[in-house]
Amino acid sequence: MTSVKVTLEDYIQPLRVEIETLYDLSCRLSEAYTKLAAESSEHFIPTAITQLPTGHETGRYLAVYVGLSYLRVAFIDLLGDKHIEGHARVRRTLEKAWPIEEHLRKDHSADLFTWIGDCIAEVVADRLTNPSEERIDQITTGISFCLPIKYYYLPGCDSLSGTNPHIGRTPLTKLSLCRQARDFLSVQTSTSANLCSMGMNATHIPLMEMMQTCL
Amino acid sequence: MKRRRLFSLPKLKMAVMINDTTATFASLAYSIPSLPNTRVVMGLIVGAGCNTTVPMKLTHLHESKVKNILEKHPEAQDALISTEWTLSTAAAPFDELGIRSKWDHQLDRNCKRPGFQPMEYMIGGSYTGELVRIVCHDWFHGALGIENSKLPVKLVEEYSLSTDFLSLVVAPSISDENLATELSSFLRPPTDSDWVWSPEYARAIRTIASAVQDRAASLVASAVVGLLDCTNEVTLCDSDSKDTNGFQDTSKAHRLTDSSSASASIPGWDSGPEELAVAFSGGVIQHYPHYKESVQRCIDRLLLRAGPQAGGKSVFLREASDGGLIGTGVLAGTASGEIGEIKVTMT
Repeated sequence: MTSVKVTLEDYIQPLRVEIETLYDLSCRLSEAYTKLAAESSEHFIPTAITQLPTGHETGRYLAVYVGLSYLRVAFIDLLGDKHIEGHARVRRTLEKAWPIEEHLRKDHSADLFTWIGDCIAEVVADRLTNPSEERIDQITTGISFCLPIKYYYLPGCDSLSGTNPHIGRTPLTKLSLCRQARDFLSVQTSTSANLCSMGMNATHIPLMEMMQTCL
Repeated sequence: MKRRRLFSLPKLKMAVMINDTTATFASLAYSIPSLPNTRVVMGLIVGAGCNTTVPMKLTHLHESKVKNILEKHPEAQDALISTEWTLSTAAAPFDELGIRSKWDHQLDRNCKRPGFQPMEYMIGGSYTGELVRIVCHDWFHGALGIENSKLPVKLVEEYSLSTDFLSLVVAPSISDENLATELSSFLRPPTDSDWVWSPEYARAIRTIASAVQDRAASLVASAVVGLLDCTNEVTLCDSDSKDTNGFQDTSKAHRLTDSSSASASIPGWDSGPEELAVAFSGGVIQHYPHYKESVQRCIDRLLLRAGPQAGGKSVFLREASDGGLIGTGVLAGTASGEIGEIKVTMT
């Protein structure tokens, strides 16, 4: 028991940070970030995004977001300058979300990616079964993770030099999906998730292949 | 079990694989033509965890990190960077300035990965509930001398107080009496305990939660301003020695690291100060009561402390709700090349 009565306000004083300290912190963090950018091979890793969206892009794209606890898949319609004044420039359709069950996060990594592929297929199938949708042969897709991603080139696709800048055409096989999945999960223990960079490559994934392991 | 419809499914062309802060950045950048005098300078997520994306000059990055990019895009000058700023290598200033309290050290010591992400342990929604619990327990048990066996189990056991609970029940409460009633059912003391949630105890947990989250918001603000100084978007007083050949004098309009001097030539630009937009999303910053206002207020105070910024520019938080999903679709469109040349040249 305390003999001298302490007020709660005094007690939690260590949680109060003065503006001068915060300002000092900003300056020091700026220096730390500059140093990490220039020197570290593990931090401040660039993405392959070297141009910003202009706001004029149009079209329909599939977006997949792997969060900590939810997976979300949706078609994103970019309306560009065709959007109606006062409304968003983007429209989401056929969106679905699933909780990522604990066993998928912790057990076999292949299961996680297989499951993700299955969920993607469900949204794509929803679109295909809509009679008013036009036929599509290929869907341009993006995937984002709430985890660190380190970019590197797919093994076996040795060079990006020369006139063919795309790895393209290299099928991302079930095997490499499994490897990605394993590396994806290794983020839990390593900050440098060696995820394949598809930001740098346009790689075709046969959707069927993603689903095969479900069967 | 999902029904699988294995008929003639199309191929997926994977155009981008990115971090969600990068997507958040892109999500707002896509809608920027609707916002006059605004340029996105950062993507920020504060949810279960915390991270940012900023554009940086390739020349400011170690060559090993930009080699692949330059091989593919020899003309590239900038790229979006996912900072992973909560990792321990960027955390020394928090201890140099004595910001981490004994409660922070306690949480760090007992978490799954001690020392790994000190900043995240003070900010991330995965941890702030536990931090509030630690401080509450220390106050009730350590300072007021209430026995553990009499306190609600959720105040005694690790990670049994969630940030969501604080956000939904504790922070929005107005009267101590009502909060005490709610706590009596959500954080129930053991049945054989004679301890009860009095209005005063209820006020204590609200005060502690508020102190923890106010500090978290101000640390986010401080790091945002620090990162914007690092990318030369704002200028802090002691950054005179910075590379002035960097971003500020670029005339490459609409590059990732655009400068205010170039912005004047952007079509639709009203004469007036530039607004640097920080695109944000995430459960904590979007939904925790008063959080984003606290971050914005602290950013304003830090910039006031820093002194006038070039062209009178200001930093403004802008919500990019579901940016992690929408921005992924946007970047798929940007990167796919199907929409033709997206490289912007100014007219």
